[in-house]
Amino acid sequence: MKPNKNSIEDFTKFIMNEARLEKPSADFVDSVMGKISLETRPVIKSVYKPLISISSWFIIAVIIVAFCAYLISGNSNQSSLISLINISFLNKINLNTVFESIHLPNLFSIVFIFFTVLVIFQMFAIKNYFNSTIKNNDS
Amino acid sequence: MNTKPDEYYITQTLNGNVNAFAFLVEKYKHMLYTLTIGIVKNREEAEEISQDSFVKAYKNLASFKGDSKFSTWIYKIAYYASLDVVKRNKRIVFLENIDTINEADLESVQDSLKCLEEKERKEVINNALLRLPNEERVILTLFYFEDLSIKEISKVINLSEDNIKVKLFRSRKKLASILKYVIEPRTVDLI
Repeated sequence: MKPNKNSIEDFTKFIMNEARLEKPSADFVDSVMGKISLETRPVIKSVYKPLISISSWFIIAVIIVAFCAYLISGNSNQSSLISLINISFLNKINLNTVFESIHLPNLFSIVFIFFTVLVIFQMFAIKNYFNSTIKNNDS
Repeated sequence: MNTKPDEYYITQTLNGNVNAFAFLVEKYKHMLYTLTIGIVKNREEAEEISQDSFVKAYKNLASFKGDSKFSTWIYKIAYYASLDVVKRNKRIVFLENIDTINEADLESVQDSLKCLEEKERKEVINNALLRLPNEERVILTLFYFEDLSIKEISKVINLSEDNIKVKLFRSRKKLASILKYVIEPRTVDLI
């Protein structure tokens, strides 16, 4: 005889009453809360800091402007400040011939130029890398 | 023993009291663990999935509208997380065939189970539940342990109510068949 719907329902009720809920580990709640605290910890974003700050650039600009202004205004009365600096030793150095005595092999020149190009390229590459890193951190 | 509704702890958590969420974890940890272990059949994995489900629920708590119960929502998270793990591991799930079972078999199985020691009885029943297909075990667990309605179960596992009813009936029969096989192996062998 096939079991009717009620009998199979009663049977399942009996079985499920006898079954038990599985028990997770004792530190289950602590582990979850630990994971949550890690998730909620404020993410420290790397903030881009330029080597020379805006205020430094401002001070440098002021100094340059002041120096230029001083030079321009000083031309009229031949300021004494520049005349006080003794640069007569420069006359002793013959600037026109100082580099003539240096002879570099062609290979060295080629390697030096190549090296310089690589350094410049690397500078741009590093700059782009840091810029993209900062953008990723911000997003 | 806390008697406050889930909504109270949800609001507290959303207002910045993270510890309020621990009450919800404490309340649903057994149910979630039972649900996941039934699918992945591995204690360590089930524990990890259950924990991650709670963390996911916490992270998305603000998006929980309250249209359904919190329990339904978190069971759904755990259910799909477990299925993902099963899929990832490409685990072959052993499916039990429905054996022919009659009224007399039910009584016989029930009597045999009653004769067993309580601990052994629970062991046999839990092992039988683990041998059910994932979906059917989840349906039985939610229906009998958590007293969820057919409508609520359909929200958790994303099946129609009619489909849930059919699967519930099939799962009852399968469970009875498995228990019959476990309790009376000699009888089955003779057939």
